[in-house]
Amino acid sequence: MLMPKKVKHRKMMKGRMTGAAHRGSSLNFGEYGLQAQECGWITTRQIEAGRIAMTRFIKRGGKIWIRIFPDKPITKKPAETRMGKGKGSPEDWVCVIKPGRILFEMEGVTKEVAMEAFRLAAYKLPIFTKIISRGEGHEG
Amino acid sequence: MEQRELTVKVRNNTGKGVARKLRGEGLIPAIFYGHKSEPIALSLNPTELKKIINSESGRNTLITLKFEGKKEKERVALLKDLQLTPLKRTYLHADLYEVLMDEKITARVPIHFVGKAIGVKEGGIEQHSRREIDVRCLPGNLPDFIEADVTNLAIGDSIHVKDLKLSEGIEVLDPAGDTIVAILAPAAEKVVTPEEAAAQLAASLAEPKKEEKKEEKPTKK
Repeated sequence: MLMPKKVKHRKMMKGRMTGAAHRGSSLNFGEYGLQAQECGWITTRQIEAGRIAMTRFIKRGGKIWIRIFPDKPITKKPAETRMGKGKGSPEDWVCVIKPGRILFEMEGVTKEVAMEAFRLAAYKLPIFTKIISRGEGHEG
Repeated sequence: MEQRELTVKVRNNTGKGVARKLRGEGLIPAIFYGHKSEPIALSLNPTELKKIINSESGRNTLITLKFEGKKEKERVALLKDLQLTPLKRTYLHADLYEVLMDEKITARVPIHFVGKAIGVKEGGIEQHSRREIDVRCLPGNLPDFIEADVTNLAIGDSIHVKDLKLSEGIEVLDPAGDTIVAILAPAAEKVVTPEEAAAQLAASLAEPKKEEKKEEKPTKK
């Protein structure tokens, strides 16, 4: 699963998700892409689940690019713990997604196969997405 | 090389307030400049610009600018930059660069891949490393696109910049050895068991061991 090898600080503040993604919002590698339509956190497990869903569907044909990386640690307090006593321990890694961000790209498959693979991957994600392709003005 | 006309309006006011007002009226701000002319702030109709961009020459269409309401000469320009919104891809701003027909220009030309490769029929993957190349030529010689025939490519074969067939007077600015398209062998999926993945994640989240600091206390004498 995707996660940083080394981080400077183990815990991070929650932060806010405002505005749209200006970087990473155009197709740079593949013919087709999955674009986020709203903001949210995507965890490393969700990215992996999406990747597996796509690779299983396209089998050995095609190539997939993952355009996001979960670099934000999320902490959680243990169950049945009283409040206070400091911040919880890191439990997961997430990626902050803003509307417009390209999540996955694909090449080497037909449009129908790409659409179905992205549809399966989109089920694994907690945000609304849209399937885009070259020739619709999404090229970088 | 296609040449199209575009009617533009010269504007005297600049700034984000003016730009927002223009967008509210259904127009977009634009700028026209060149190395032999002073920059002119313009406003134009994005629908007309979209028609030009969607034509066969795409972004490399030579645009003849007709200045509305001002006695400016007609000028030829090339779309240098276009700002878009990330989601709806509506146009926000356009940069138009003056083109002199007797002076060479640098432009990015799209590559069209023709045919179905032998390697793809055998189960390989056609990977496009580059979809555009930078060329330098006279505006009249600027091609709409460059064709790359992939029909004879087997698994492991590739086409480089030097292999492209270009007409005379066109100079390629990209390194000759750059790969444009390659036929890759299908890669086997790396299987990671859920236990391995969980162990990997747990290791990354584990608290690092604190280094024991032994501070020597100053001894009082």
